[in-house]
Amino acid sequence: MNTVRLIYRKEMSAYFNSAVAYITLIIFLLINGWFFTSSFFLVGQSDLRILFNSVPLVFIFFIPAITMGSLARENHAGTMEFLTTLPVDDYQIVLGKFFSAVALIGVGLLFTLPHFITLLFVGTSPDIGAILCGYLGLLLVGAMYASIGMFGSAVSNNQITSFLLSFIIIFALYLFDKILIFVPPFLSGILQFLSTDYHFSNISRGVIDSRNIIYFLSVIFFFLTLSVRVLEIRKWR
Amino acid sequence: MARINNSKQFALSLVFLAVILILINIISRSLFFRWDLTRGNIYSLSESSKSIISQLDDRMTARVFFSEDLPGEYVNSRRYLQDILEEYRAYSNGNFHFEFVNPDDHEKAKEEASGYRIPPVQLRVLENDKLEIKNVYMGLVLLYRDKKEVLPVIQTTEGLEYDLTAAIKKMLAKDLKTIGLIAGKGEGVKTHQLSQFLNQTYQVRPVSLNSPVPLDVDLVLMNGVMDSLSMDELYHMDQFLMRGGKLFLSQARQEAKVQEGMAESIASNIFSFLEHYGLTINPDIVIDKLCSQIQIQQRQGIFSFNNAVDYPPIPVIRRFNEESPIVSGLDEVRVFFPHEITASPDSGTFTPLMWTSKNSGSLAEGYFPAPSMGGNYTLRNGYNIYPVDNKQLQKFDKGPMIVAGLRTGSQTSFFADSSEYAEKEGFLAFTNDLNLLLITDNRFFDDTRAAGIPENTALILNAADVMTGDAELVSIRNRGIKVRPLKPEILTSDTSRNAWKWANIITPSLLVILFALYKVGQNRKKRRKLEEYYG
Repeated sequence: MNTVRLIYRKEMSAYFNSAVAYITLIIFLLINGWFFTSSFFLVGQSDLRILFNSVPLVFIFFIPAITMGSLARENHAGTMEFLTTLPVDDYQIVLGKFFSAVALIGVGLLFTLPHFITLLFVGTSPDIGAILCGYLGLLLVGAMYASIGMFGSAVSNNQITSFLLSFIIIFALYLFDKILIFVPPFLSGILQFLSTDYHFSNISRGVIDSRNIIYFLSVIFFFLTLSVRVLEIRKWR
Repeated sequence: MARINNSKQFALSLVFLAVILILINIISRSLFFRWDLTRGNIYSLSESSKSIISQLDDRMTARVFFSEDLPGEYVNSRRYLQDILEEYRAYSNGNFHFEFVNPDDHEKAKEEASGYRIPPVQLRVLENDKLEIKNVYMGLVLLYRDKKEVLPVIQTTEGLEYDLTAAIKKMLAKDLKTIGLIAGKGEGVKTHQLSQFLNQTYQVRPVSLNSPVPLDVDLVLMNGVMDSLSMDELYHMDQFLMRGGKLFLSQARQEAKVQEGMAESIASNIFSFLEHYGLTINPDIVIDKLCSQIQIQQRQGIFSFNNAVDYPPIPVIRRFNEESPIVSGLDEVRVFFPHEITASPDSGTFTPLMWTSKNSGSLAEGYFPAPSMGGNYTLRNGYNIYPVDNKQLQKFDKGPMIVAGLRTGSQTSFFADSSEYAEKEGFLAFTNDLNLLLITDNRFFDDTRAAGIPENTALILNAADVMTGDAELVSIRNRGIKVRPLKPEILTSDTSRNAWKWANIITPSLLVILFALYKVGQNRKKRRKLEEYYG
């Protein structure tokens, strides 16, 4: 676990010592802030549902952007070969980078706290339990998208390709819930179960359901394992 | 993690992993836990539901007629229904059972559903590359001894727990309470939908004041009168109250004619009757800055268009008496053209239930027409309620005003001093148990104002439950309709709204910039130290 921690630290320091992370964060927060405020006072309800609806949408672009470089950059620069000569397992590389991406997402969510604080001032008895649960849900969605981003990044040396691949998978999972009316009924149950929004909606209203948690953990585990396997391919090819 | 060495192993390991994860997810659907973090656990079974289901002393079966291949948005309803039925089963001491039946391909099940009056619902689904209308079933029947209660269509999860618990409670009840409804004589007054809501837990029937209110009627809901009642009608109302009957009266002093932009006074002896009971309805119409909007048609050049405008004579009530179970769980109620109630201190107990906001006022009588209608103001009888350019609708110079309240305690009869009526056989001159709820909206029980506005319906159902001494369902109903509005001063002031809006857009990014500057400063410090160290 020490190796994972070392890689995590290295990645975090790389994030916060470059302007890219800050610019990405600012764009993420500006878009969220805009979405949030354009409906919050119109709807006039003391909850953060509007934020919880908009963040997963912004995540679709934000998370592939922050993960696209994590493995692809190493592949492209040839440092991956160097990394693999060290006494480090592939899964440790993937986990270290995955945790750092999740931490960056957590930092992004932390900076949305002014919206929460606003709610405490202008709202009437907001439901704190439900809001905290919503944030937990956002972190799970973020972690799931990050695992897909890791896979996209592992597959290609090109960051744009990585971005597009993870974006397409994430967007499809996001979209499944929205297109159910257009699919035959026998498929709708499966597509709904696969969709991110379906599982997130339960958590965002304040209910932690083990079925939703297991879904998120399954997808994360699946894509992280896939990423490790993809890294291993290079060794036997 | 075992290493893989060729593409076959790669593919196999992925298939194996996917199968394991799918299995775990399938198993998790039957073995699960839910942790409800919301305030009041609004997504879990309420204490009232648990208490009611635990009263079962015989087997109750829920036969759920639910089609399997439902369009996506309804799959969730099915799952929610199954979850909630499982919770009922858990608290029923083994007396509650449920079974899902799919009537789609089974004629017998279809016949059974139709026998219980569960109709097929038509939904649009995509089949064979085109949208088709499909008949699906989404209903259930509860069977208990020789009784049955049907929820014919369950399309939404909203209020499902209330509907189920109300149905179970109705089946357990030995004698159902009876509510009498006096719809009123105004044009187009309808109480059909309200009756349907009340029918879930009560027997509802129309009553008239032409004869004594039947003894089995526990509560009367009465829309406002437009002119005087006959003395006999007043007598029957009075004696109903004297014998401990409960009255929820919706009475105003003005009849609003929105199309004409004016309200006319109601001349009725009911006001002196109410004054005898210690309740005076102020003649002026209450207006409130916190109000509903109405659509009005406006002209600009050759174009006319509909515009939504704030309409202060329809206040949105958000201040409730938190100590009264009738209103304590409510967030919002809409009253139309209400009046202030003044309670006489000499009479029994008066409990105010609802207040307008502190930005409210009352219309002065007699200034017509509004400037936009042409001409100057003229003094006439009546109240100007024209929605456009009406300065009278902008004066919010009075504090919160009571628009609904409950009179309880002791009371002498209105006819105690009448030689004609006091002599009648069975005359009751006094009660220690008065229950008179007054709301100053003339049509509060009309379907457009009651059943059409969920919060208003909730108020009526709460009042019915509490006044008939059965408040078990109140808590479930209030859970379902929870709305938590923002503070009114934020919504009504453009300046504060814009300030909050821009602060929310800019502050998060500003914090990131400050954090970045802090990091740059730290890095510089570190670099300087290293430079000093290495000279």
